[in-house]
Amino acid sequence: MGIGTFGSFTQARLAIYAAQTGLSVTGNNISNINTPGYTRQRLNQVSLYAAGSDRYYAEGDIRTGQGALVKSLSQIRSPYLDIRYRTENAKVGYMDSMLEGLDEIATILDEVGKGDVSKGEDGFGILGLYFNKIASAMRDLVSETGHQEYDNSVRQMAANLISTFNTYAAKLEEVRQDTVKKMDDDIADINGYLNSIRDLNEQIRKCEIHGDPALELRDERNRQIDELSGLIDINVTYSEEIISGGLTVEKLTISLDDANPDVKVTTDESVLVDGIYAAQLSFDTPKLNPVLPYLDDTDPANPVPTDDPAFAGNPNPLYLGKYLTPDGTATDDIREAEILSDKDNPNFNVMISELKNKVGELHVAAKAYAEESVELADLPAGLTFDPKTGYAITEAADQPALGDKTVTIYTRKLKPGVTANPPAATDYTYTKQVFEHLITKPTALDDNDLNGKIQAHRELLTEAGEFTDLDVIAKVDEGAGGKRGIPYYQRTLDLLANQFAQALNEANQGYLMDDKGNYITKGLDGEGKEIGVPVQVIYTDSAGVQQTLTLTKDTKWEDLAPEAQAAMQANDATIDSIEDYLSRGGGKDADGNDVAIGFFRGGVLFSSNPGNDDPTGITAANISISNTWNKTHLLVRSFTCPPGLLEPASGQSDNLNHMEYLLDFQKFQYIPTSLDGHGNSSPKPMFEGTFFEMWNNIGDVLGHDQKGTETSLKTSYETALNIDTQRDAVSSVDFNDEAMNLMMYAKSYNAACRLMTTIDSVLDKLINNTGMTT
Amino acid sequence: MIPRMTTVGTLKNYRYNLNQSNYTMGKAMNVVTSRRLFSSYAEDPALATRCFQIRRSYLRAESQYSVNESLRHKYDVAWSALDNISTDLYSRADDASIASIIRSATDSTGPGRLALGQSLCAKAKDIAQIMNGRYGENYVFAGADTLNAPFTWGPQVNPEYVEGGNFPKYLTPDGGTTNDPELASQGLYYRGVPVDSNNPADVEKMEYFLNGERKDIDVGLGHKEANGEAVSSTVFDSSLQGIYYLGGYGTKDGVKVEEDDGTTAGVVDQVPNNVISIVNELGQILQRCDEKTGDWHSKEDELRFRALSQELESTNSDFRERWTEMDTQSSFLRDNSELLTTTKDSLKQQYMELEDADPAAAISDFMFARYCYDAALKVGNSILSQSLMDYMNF
Repeated sequence: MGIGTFGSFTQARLAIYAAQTGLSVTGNNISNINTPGYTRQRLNQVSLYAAGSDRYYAEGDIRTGQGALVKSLSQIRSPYLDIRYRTENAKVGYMDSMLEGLDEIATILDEVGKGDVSKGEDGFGILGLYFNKIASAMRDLVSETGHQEYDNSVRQMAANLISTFNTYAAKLEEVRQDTVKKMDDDIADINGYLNSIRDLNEQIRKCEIHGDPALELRDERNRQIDELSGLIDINVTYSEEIISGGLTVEKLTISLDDANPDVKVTTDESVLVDGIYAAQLSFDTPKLNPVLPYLDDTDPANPVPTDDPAFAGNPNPLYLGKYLTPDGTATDDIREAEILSDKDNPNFNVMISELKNKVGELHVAAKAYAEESVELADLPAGLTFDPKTGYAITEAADQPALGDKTVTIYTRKLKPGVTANPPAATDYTYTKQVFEHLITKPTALDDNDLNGKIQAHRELLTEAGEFTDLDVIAKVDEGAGGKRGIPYYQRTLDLLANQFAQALNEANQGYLMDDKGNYITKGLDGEGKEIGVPVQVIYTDSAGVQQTLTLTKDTKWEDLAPEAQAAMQANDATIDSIEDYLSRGGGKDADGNDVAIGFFRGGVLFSSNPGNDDPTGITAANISISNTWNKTHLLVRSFTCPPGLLEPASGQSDNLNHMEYLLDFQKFQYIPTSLDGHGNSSPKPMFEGTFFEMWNNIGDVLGHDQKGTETSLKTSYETALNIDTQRDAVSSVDFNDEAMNLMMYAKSYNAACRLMTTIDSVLDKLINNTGMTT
Repeated sequence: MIPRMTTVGTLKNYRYNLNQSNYTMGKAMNVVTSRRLFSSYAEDPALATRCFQIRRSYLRAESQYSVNESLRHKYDVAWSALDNISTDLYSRADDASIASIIRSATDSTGPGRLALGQSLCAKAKDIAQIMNGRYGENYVFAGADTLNAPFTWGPQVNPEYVEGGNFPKYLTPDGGTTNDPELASQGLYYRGVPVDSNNPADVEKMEYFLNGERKDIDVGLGHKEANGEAVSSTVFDSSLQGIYYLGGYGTKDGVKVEEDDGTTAGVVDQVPNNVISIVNELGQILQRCDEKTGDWHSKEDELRFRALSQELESTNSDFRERWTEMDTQSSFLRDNSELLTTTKDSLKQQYMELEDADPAAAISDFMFARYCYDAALKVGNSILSQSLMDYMNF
């Protein structure tokens, strides 16, 4: 018989226990239906069957199962869906943060629907409206030339315009600073998750060693991994870690998910968590060695240092390492490099630290290379083989200070058929195997190694679109020219302000001319009255003939005969332009001041500082009404004087008309290189149009960026939601399911109790009533 | 296999859809309250860009309209001035007109001629004064020199004077010459240049005023520039040169004085081209007549008087031609004003059509979005109330 007399009680007891446990699991599932990250649990039970033959079993007896055994609890989870969800979640994190950043920029630069309702200007924008208003004010001044109130009106409109420029630039800078703060928070969050996952790994590991599957801890870990996947793109893998004597536990490894499209880059797969070790992220970056590794030998006579891998066959003898140590020497080991912190890291490069466990011990990676044959002649000198094991071990401390070492094990084996005793060295075959014992290193990430929220913030902080340095496009990120973050919008606004100031400053300065376009100087008529006469240079040409050169607005210095240039340099050898000659061609007066030939009119309207007239380095943030324009009526109405006169007519306005044209009609080319500090960016015009059109274009580009990002976000979010729903279909708790389980286990419990009662009744009959007569 | 729909999964999807429904309703509500079809570039970048361009064109047209209106009024003032001058100069019906005065001068006695002479000189000054009229703060007939009165009086320049030549510079009241400006008679100046001078430096200036000087204004003709200068056909030249309407500057030689029978009584040189100068000199000649008898001061004076009268008569057609020319310009400005008004209206209509929401459509959309949102709320209530748990009975 397969089960003893009272074995049936055990059967019933196990059934009751299984049903009760099932009820408990169901209750736990119901209780946690709203717990974030909770994975529904399932009771795994098996039929208990005692295997093997009884020594004295009875013929004809049948073996029956001995009841139900509760074997384990498990989670129902799909690793495949987890991977898909986390990949998509990184995209959601990226798009969400990017859109958030662009929306913040749009609150400043998007003027759709804006405007002063009380003046009926709603919908006309603010900066855009001022561009129109200054053009209108200039048109009015053309009509009413010479009346200061109209002059003041132009200046006031200009002041409003530049004040708006200043405000927008300041607000964009605020957005940038806020984004820096957000990125710091992201780094802190990531580091918090990495530490927390490491600690959970350690707890789960301990539980596993003691036989506890630690399902709730795994749920919490999965939840944190999900959160982490929104911040950076990660790849999660599980492997077996041998503890001892055949006991293995699961090891979780999180690494970056190969975001960099450049296949040669491997830093985008750096490990963040390896079991009980975890790294930390920071905005540190190693100091790079300016000496480049190769020589461009396309001109053998003059090879130029380069880091282009195409010249890898021509190493630069001066190159000694990729990084510089704090004492300035070159090294290839990042651990020895000088680390630059935030302020010296404008590109917000991210560094991954060494992997450390909870108490700060460094992770050690052992790497074994394949065993290979070695010829006797190639064996290192002085190698001593252990006669018993046949091994000879050499150990080299590669980086003694940092703990790296290489161990090589040489093995010898007797060749088949050798009988000599002792055998000679030639009687052996030799092999060697190399083992590296490497201490974990920090990793400096490449520009495109990350994805997720943190990368969106990095791109918002660093991407400058067409203003990107061409070297960065060539060597770091070939797509950088099309990525637009806050710097792009800052620089575009700067370029607009700069071009605006430059065009009007140039238009408002010059020398007086007569009606034929000749520059004029002071002369006397027949009665001794001062009149305006053309500026003429008399010189003797190379043929010895005296020539008279009349300087006009079209005369170019470089087109003049050397003799004419020499004549113009008679009083000042440094003169090298027509403007120079007009401003100081008369030499010096008794006080040492330059004596001008021509009559200069106008001056700088816009400067980089309200306290001076410096027109250089003008940006949206610093553009100001110049000191002189603030104090005087500086707008030049005309440079053209009627014949013989020394001043333009009082209402002449051809120059004002020209400025009105510049403000309202002239299409300018906006070239990134024309902005200070961007000499190595794209030389192509990023846009061609009027000032207003350029401003409108900024909004248009921003609108398209927002719309594109919003569409991508929606797509990614819906995909992530869809995958999450699929995950829920597998892993989450459902009331109907649990209700079914409740009923099932309740009925099972009842049935088991009934079984117990039945067996009790049967045995009672057997024990108490069998053989009894009445 | 049918996917397992769980309570948690269903709730997640429901939350997302409810949020979407709420968002859609919010957007619809925004359209109703703002009355705009879009409120950011991101909603429709191409349309937003286009609308801003149209609004910019509207503002430009408005500004051009304002300037055009100002110009139109200036031309109205100029036209009225010329109307007055026309009456003063050529009206035969008006006894006070210069034409009438000249007719009556032939039969006058000595005192009568002197008085008529004074009257003609005063008339010349009146005309100059009319031509010095202003619109707002600007002199209408001053060309580009709008802040200064164009016509002034000063020592009368000898038409024969040339800088560096032998002729004295000025004329005296008795018809002689002098280099002393204090002794000179009163002559007309335009923008500081003697109108009757034949001195090349003066002629060059006058030539520039008449043919070289412009005061271009953008009144919506498609303002363009070439080599940094306005293309003349794309702007409106608003400079009105006073001398242009009054016969010009300088003098002419060889003016034949004809008798009634068609024979030539004589030939007179240096006859002024400018109407004011002619009238002024007619007055000066009459004032030189004998106080008692009224006889001409000299035979030359008589001949010159006749030549000047003849010339004055001949300026009538030129004057009217140029007046008509101004009328044409004035008409152009009126037409342009209407055109700009139409343009403004059209542009405003255009951007309103593109930007403004149709209230009926916006409210319908909002009501539908609200209906959807309400329905979503009701669905939510149903989701939460139904499960097997509610039907279990042990």
